[in-house]
Amino acid sequence: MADKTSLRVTVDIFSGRENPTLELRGRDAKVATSLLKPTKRKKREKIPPISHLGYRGLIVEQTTSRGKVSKTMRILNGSLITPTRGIRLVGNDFEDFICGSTGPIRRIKFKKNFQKFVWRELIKYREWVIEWPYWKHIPKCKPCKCAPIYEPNWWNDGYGGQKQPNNNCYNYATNYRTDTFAQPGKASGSMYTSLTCGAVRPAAIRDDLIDKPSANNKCPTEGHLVALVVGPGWDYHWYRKDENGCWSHKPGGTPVTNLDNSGNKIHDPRTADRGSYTDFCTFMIVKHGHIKIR
Amino acid sequence: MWLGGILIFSGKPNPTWPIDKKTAEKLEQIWNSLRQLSEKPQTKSVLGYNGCFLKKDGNHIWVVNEKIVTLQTKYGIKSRLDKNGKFEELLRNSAPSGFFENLIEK
Repeated sequence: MADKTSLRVTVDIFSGRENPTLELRGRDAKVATSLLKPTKRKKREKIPPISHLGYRGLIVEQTTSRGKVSKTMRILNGSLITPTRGIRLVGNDFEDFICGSTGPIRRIKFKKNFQKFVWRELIKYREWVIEWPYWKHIPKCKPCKCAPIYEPNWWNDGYGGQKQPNNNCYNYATNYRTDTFAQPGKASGSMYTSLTCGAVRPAAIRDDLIDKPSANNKCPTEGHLVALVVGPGWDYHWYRKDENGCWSHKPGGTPVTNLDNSGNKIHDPRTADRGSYTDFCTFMIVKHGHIKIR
Repeated sequence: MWLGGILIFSGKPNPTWPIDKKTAEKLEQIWNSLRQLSEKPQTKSVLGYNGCFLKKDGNHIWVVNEKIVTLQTKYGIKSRLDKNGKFEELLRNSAPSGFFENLIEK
């Protein structure tokens, strides 16, 4: 008995207008189905975002002889994406077969040169994907066993609370709640006198933080690592390296966060988006119980 | 006593200014006219401007940022939409002249 399974292919390309659809039967359906076999067992962990203006792939629905949809998948840049089985590689042959100059896409009576339009968009997508910045190795945070645990909820009791508005970046980085918006050097009787690295760093040393400019983002054997940055003439700011090895901070009286000004996780405060806090001063070590801040 | 302030510094204390009764009443009127949000808004914190605040007797604090005004009291938190930015504008304009220019260390 002949296989009456057919494929419905939707070209996902428009934002406002309805996407055009194509029915594949007989030989075309057979060829297309054979091109959907995964080429590698290994799953891909990530793909660029699908919410993108322009070509977003082909949505394939396998329909049975009774017209029921049995499987739905998206083919995008050689990846087969299903909600249940994740992302697998199938190669570019399926998209090339459907969208190529001799492919079934020519049957879509949509607008003049539609095949050429889709092909151009598909190539544009493939070129964009190569440049997609997140293929690059994203550094992982190496845990620091002596560092404080990242527990923002403990600090974030709201602007009307006791902890959040009265403890600043210095309190948070040193993991020392004073409820006084602590200032470097104040506890030792000699606060910083200007907003420069040269003034804030010695003030923190007077509070018994240990200057470690050579720390190079590595966990110390004792205590935990903090980092001082300054917006010259404006303000200073502190980050701390948590037990999970990533950095977090508390911008003044606002909530604790582990994101920088661009919304990215902080792997290294030297390279994070720090807004107007342009000067990276130094890494320092906080030995638990050794420091005094006020 | 009413106090206005700006959430802008991370290390240094944030600057504040006193707010007269008339302005405070006007701000309360605007607050009462704003539409309540059904969902709790996401609060984010960045280095730099994070909004302005209004404090009343240390029991009430309104924080306005990105067109959302949030009031926190001992009874809980309410958030409303400042669609036209009126609350934030009046609060910011109540600062003494030259206040924002003087934020940078001379």
